[in-house]
Amino acid sequence: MDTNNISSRNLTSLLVVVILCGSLVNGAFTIAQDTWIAVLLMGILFLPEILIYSRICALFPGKNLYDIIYSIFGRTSRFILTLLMTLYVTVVTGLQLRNFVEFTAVISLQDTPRVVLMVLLLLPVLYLAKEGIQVMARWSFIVCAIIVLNIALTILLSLNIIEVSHILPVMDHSFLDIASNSFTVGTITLGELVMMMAVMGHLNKGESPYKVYLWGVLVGICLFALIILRNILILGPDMEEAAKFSTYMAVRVIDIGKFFERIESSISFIYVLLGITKMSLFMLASATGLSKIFKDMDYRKLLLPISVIVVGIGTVVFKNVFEMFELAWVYRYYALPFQLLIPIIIWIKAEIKKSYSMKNN
Amino acid sequence: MMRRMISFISMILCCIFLSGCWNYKGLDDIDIVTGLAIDKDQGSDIYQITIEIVDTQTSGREGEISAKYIDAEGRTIFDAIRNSKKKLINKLYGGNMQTLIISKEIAEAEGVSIIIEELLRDGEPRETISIVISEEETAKEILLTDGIDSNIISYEIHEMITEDNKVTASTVDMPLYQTYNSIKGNGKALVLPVVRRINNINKNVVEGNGIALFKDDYLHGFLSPRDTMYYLFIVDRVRGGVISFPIGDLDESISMEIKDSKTDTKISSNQNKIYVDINVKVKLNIMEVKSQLNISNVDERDKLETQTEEYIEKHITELFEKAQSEYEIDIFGSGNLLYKKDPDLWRKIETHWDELFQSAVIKVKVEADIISSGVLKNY
Repeated sequence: MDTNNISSRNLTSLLVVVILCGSLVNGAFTIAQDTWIAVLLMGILFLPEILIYSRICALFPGKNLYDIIYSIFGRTSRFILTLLMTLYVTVVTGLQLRNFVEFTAVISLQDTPRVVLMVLLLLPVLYLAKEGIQVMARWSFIVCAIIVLNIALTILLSLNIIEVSHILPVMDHSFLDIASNSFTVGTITLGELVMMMAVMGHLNKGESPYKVYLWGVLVGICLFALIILRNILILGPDMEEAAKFSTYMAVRVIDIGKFFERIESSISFIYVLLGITKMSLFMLASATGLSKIFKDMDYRKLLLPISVIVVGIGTVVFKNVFEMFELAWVYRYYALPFQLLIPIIIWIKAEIKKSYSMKNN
Repeated sequence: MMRRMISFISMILCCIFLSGCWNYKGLDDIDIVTGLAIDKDQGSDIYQITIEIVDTQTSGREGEISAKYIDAEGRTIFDAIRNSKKKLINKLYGGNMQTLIISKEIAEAEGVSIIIEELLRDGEPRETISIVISEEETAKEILLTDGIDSNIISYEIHEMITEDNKVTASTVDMPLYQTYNSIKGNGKALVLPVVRRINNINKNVVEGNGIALFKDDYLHGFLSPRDTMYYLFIVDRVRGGVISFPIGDLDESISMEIKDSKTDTKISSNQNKIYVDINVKVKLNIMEVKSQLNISNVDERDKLETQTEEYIEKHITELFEKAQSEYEIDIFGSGNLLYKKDPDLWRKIETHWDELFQSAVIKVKVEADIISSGVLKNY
């Protein structure tokens, strides 16, 4: 292991940042005023999955996901599993990159070719991934602080234009609808925390991964729900439903006086920070996995080739913004094996192995 | 050392070469649009728009900011806006647009929903632009009036309308996003402010003049500024205003300023009859006493409060009944209150909500509190 001393506070903020980056697809929700309920439900629905991730990390302190796979599986299965997870995280990075670039292109830079935006965005991502997990964790703490400040500020500034009756009637949609929405956005927001296992090995000795995961999910989901609630209360359910990026539209309505007037650029700024951090984490996870396959090669050498692949994936993954929101509803099935099946297999095998070695000892 | 030099030089190069981009819009390249007026030619189905832009050449430190106007035509509004470029050097930038004026002909014939959809879809204009209906023949006349406080009519209209519910309570402010909610919302009713052109010491200026009532998104009728105050009481949008009425005998009257007002509307349904329960709490300042009333006397003040309450109650009930019999539609959006309370019931009755509204029973209770009388105890 390169480093073994990242504090749990930094890793928790990294987790929160990854969760909040999923809030970019809040256009995929189809339930208007009950979206905040879906977000809270998401935390509850995915809790077992998060507990599985924490348990796997707790069984093997100091080891990341790929080391764990290598230590408990035989030659063929460990090769296949590592390859699958690496491919998955590469595709997810491409999706996230394209998602973010679509947001930028729709909101402001309409004429810039997508590829240019993707390459330019990947440059800081590459730098951050090259610097390593310690820098990334410390950086995410700062990003987390900025986000919390921004959310608090926009909520306080919007208090004179919100109408509380916008969230009524509560639970007008069927529970099945709400749960379906939770599941869809949950696979993007919480399910991708499976890749946090690739860096959890760097956690401080003596700190528990449960603490990191559970605190991170709690704070992340609460912030996400607050963001959605603020959007609904400002815009009203019908407008929030119709908008592609309701956070941006909600903050555009806020007016802070005669001189400064608008603060919507802070939202684009925040999304850039979130996007860079999440992508660099996933790039790091992908490079680590690939380096494991190539017999412990230095992962920094693999970052550049992976980024080229990621740009390629980002270009072809969907044709236009309509497909982006439709993809969210298909992605949940595609991600299920990687987010649930493979971790369960790893977990069960790990438990068996641990109890076997305990019996032998 | 060498590496530092190289990285420093590459950073400088990045700053130089990457500072422009495909979407670069220099300030000298754009015309800032402040307002838009939309008319339609009766025979030919072509939209005629008038765009108000800030005149950046004659505006400066010495002169006031003034505005220029551009006419354009097109099959759709987006078409018309783009066609205006055939007359202009610069591109139009809509991020500072404040007002949209729609002629009443378009509102009656086609509805305002199509215009709103275009402006919402285009990400440039803000969602907070005020939408107004022009009472004159065309919307263009409103834009071409002289301003009193500012030469840019759109800013005048926008400020006038947004401040109004705190000052005269005679019209309503509907930014773009709230208009969308009112059209699409279950049981909601759209109202838009109305402006007209009026003579003010030999200049033609813009004046707010009540509200326009809509059935779905088609213009249905108008409410006078007086009636609009009671409309605002019912929908809880009064934050200021004046109540004047005659008291006592002969030509005695009293004028009071509304300091604050809160309305609680409850709706209930019982065997196909709708009951609307309106409770208003209003705080007043006495501003002008044209009577022999001794306002430092507690009994006289109590009597005045009761008279005010009766006055407001009577007018609110009259307006409600007028909406039921003359306009025949739910102009207050009370269907939305029922939807929020009981969505299943709403889904059953929403198709004949207007008929149910016409036979609704209203109960009004006003509580008036006189909290001050200016700086004089007595006159």
